[in-house]
Amino acid sequence: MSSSIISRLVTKLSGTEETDNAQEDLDLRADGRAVRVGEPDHCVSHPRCCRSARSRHQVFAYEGAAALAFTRQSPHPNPVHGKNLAEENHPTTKDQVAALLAEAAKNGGKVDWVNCGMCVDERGVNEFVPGTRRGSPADFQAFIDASDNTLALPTK
Amino acid sequence: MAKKSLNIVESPYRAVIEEQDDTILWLLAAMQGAGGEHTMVLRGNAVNYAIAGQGAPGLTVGEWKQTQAPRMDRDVADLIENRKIPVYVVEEDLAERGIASDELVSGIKLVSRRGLPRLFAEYEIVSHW
Repeated sequence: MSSSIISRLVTKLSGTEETDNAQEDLDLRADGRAVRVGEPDHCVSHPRCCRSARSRHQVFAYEGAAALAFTRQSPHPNPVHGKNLAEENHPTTKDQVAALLAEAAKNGGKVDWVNCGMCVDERGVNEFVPGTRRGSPADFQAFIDASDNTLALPTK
Repeated sequence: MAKKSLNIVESPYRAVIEEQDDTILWLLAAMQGAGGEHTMVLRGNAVNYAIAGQGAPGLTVGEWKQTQAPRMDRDVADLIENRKIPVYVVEEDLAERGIASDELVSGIKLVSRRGLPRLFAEYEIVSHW
């Protein structure tokens, strides 16, 4: 399971904070792109995102990204590197999504995370992290119309 | 009130197995139906979406058959004719790929690279897919 989308959201949100636009509503669109997991440069940017989460953000996760919040993801050990489950502490995107929502709430913000319904159905990933919800392109359109700005993160 | 959105599509043919595989075209059709006001620009390899008469015959695996194969040209025509979504193609990207304008789906508009900034200025939202 890739955490790249989370990481890219994090990076962009961090940038929002740096430019002092964190009070704006931001509509984020995430598509699932298979890349590396848990890269240090991406991981360190995660807390920066959470600090910026005091504003209200909206995410529409479609295609592969619809699995980011799937609750049945499981961490695994790394026998190649001789690490057991606890030592490996493998990242899962469901935990990152949950942490992002929790951190936003702690800072008085909100992340409205919508998982594309058709996308989750065809992948069998329709068990979501609490606080995320099922939706459709109509939600996506509503996000755009209600937001100050949008950011597209497409598949390459 | 829907915001005017310009959608630049550059990543085409993520797969050609099922009829939603031209994801952004499908998504824009759905969003237009939900009250959006979208325009699309095809650039790079995505200009190939606009060629009329292309096909992706249904995949067959043993006894299993894909009965709803993707039809990219049909979907582009649907955006233009039924959804009323203007569709532009970057003309230099067509030329670089040896594609003539008479090969395109009816109703496609051409825009030059130099003309893109003027087009951008007409929209509140510009997304690059």
